[in-house]
Formats: sequence, structure tokens, C-alpha cells
Amino acid sequence: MGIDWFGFVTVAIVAVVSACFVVLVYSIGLRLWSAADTRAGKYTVKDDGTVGPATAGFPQPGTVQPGVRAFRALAAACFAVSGLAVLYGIYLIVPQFH
Amino acid sequence: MDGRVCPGGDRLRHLPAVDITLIVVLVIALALFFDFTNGFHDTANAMATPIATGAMKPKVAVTVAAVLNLVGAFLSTAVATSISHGLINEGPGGVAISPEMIFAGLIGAVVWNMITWLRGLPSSSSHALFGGLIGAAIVGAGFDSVNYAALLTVVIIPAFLSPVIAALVSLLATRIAYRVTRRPVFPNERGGFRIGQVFTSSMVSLAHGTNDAQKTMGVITLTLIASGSQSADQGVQFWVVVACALAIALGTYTGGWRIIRTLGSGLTEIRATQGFAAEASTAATILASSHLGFALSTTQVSSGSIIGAGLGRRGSKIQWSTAGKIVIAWFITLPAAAAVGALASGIARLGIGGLVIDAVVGAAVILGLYLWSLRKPHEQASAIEVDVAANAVFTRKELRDLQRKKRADRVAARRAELSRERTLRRMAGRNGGRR
Repeated sequence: MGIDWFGFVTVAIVAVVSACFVVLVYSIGLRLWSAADTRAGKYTVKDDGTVGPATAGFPQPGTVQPGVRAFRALAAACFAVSGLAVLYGIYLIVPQFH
Repeated sequence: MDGRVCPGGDRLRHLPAVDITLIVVLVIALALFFDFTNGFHDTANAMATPIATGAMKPKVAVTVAAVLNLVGAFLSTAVATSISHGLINEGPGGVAISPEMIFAGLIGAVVWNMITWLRGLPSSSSHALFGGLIGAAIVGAGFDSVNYAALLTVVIIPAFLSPVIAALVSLLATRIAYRVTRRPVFPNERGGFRIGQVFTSSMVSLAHGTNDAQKTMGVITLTLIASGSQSADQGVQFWVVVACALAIALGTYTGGWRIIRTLGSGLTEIRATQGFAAEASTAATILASSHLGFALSTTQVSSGSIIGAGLGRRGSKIQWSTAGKIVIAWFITLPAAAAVGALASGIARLGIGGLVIDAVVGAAVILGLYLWSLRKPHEQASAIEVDVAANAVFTRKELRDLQRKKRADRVAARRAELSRERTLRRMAGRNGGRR
């Protein structure tokens, strides 16, 4: 008999690293997306620290707030990486691919 | 009939062609039914969390799962040459698993699957199948036929390790997800995890389809080979693949709502962030285990992930009594299925009459369990279960309303407390205590 402890530890490490990586990247994507929302003036912060709806005059129509586009692009990149992880998972699942 | 139930042991091994056909038909029918129970037993592994968080509507979720299981079944071509994964000393030098044993083992597996479904407990379908086969083999070929060392390494140790590793992975993933998306001032975008959940759950579903339909295909193919209906080097026949794929997809579509409820809201209240982290961990753990060669049970991994996700969010409670029941079910799955399998195998030894008794009694028990599930009024089954599950698992809106109400209560309580404090202070001031 004898349990394949090496195999078990390998599985554990790979599972931890891959799951945490995907979750981390996707979470960062969401965070960047909400940061972009904030920069775009989707919310206002009142004096008491609570969040309210955007004020009518901000942002001015036709202007782009600095950084919004960059944040959105970074978020999209994160989602793309998560998508690649999903594709790699499908590649692993489908036996015909390897 | 008289001539067949004769005392000569050799006669049993050389049953006439008619009987072989009967046993083959019985095994195929029962194997397909096992595939069906396997499907609805394991819908919850993938779809409990997205249903609970509202990422997918219940009907949509089971439909997606059914389609992915169907696709997965067609993708899996390599069928295991040994149905018992070395638990039974098969092959040269060991015992030959006869169709009767497979039949008895399947009865044990199906009956135990039905019982755990009735109790809403997620238990491993493969362990039920192993258990049934082991019981049947012990009665049919003696205690020596079971490889106990393999039993320890294939079933018992992984049963301890699967939930622990999954819970650990999921705990870390949940912590990371909450830490990264924490925004004390601005609204966070955790609702976005619902979209992610659709993908992670679908992956778990697809992986399940490729693994589990294959098991039944193996059982049917080995029976066909044993009965001489096909040659050993022929591989799986196409109608077997189609039948198994349809059986598992239909089972998945039927949906084990009881088990979905247990995993979705019975263990802990799952939120989108947790659901995403849990399913990502389940998918990662299952893929790692199936590609690095340390077999872990899908059911146990996914239950463990949900517990880990529950531990990962501050302020969430885990129903440890439910978790305990699930763990107990895992550990008695194999012996219980073995007991039923042994009983069925004992009856099957009577010969053709025994097989018929087995089939009739087995069908009666399954029907009885199904009717019993209908009788419980608070736990409706079958047709109306969809609505029940949809109601039992809170919808997003209801959850939000509940939370809003709770928050309003808390604000009201704090306001009352403050006003009382202010009154006290005023009174103290009047008495000359604090100017």
C-alpha cells in the first residue's frame, strides 16, 4: 500500500496556487473596474463619509477623467487572464486536446 | 426453471444464453438508472452555489449542468479497464467479477444513492458503487476478493483529505477575494463575482460529465465483454455512450433539489464572492487531482470548498450539525452500500430466480423511497421541487431586503441608545455634575 504523499502534497500546492491565482486576478479586475467607476464620477462622497449618487454636473459631458481608461483597460486585462485560465481548464478537461 | 437452479455450481457459471441475455439487460438497465441517480446526486456539486447566490436561476443552472454533462460524456472516450479501481482483486490470479456481482453491486449503489438523496446529503456516487461491488464480491467470492490496502488508499484516506484540502484552498481564495475587493468608502463590485461563478460552476459540471458517465460506460462494457456480447478489444460501443450520456444528463436536469438546498443554504449562507471562490477552488482541486494522479472525490471536494468559503467570510456561520451529518454520510456510504450489495448478491446466488427477486425487490425499494419523498409535505419532491428550491434558497432581492431591514433595525437601536445617553448627560448636568 503506502499513500502517495508526494502526489497529495503536489495536488494541494497546485490547487492552492491555481485557485488563488484565478481568484486574485479576477478580484483585482473587479477592484480596478470599481476604481474606474469612481474616477469617472459615478459616485460622490459626502462629508460624513457615506456614498451618494453622482452629482449632476460631474463629470462634464464630453470630458474623460484622467485614468479612467487606463483602469478600465487594466481591469479588462485581468478578466482576459481569468478567461485564459478558464480556457486552460477546458483544455485540461477535454481529453482530445492532449 | 427447475433445471437452472440446480445444485451444481458449474451450471451457474455456464448459464444458458437466455439467462445471460436477461442478466445483461438487467445490468444495463440498472447501470443506466445508476447513471441517472449519479446525475441528480451531483448537480449540487456544481450548481448549488450559483443557485444560492442568484448567479443563475435554478432552471437555467440545471439546464446548463445537464448540457455540459451530456457534452462531457461524449468527450470521455477512455474507459477504465477496471471498474473497481483495484478495490477488488480482479484480473488474472484474482476473482472474475460476474455480471451477477455487478448487478448486486449496482442495487446497493442505487439504493444508497436514493437514501442519501432523500436525506438531502451529498455523498459520493463512486463510493456507493465501490461499496456495492465490494459487498457483492465478499458474498460472491469471499473476503479475500477485496484488496483492503487499496480500500484504505483509494477511499478512506482521500475521504479525510479531500474536504480538508478543498476547505483550505477555498478559505484562502475567499480571504483573498474579500481582501482585494474591500472598499470601505466606495461601493465594491462584488456583484461581478456572479458572472465569474457561471464560468467556474460550468467547469465543475463539465469535469463531472467527463468523469462520471465514463464509470457507467465501463460497467456496461465490462458486462458486455463478460457475457461474450462483444470482444474485449473492441472498446465502448456507440449506443452505450449515447445511453449513458443521456441518462446522466437527464438525471442532472431533474436536479437533486434536496442536495442543492443542503449545499446552497444548509451549510452556510453563501454570497457571490464566496460562491466564486468556492467553485474556483473546487475546479482547481479536481483538475489538479485528476491530472496529477491523486484521486479526490468531487462530492467531498465541493462540500469542503463550501465550508472553507463559509470560514473565509467574517461573520458567516457554519451549521456544523449539517456538516457533521454530511461527514457521517460519507463514512457510512461504503459500508451501507456494501451491506445492500451483499444482501442482493446473496439472493442472486439462488440463480435466475434470485436475480428476478433482486430486480423486483430493488425496484420496489426504489419506488418506495421515491413515493416516500413525495409524501413529506414540507420537503416536496419531483415536479414541484423547482419552485420549492427557488423559494428555499433566498433570491438576491429577498436577501437584500433582509439585510436592509437588519441594518435599519441596528440604526434605530443605536439612535435610541444615543438619545438615552444624551438625556442622562443632560440630567447629570442639571445636578451640577458636569458643566
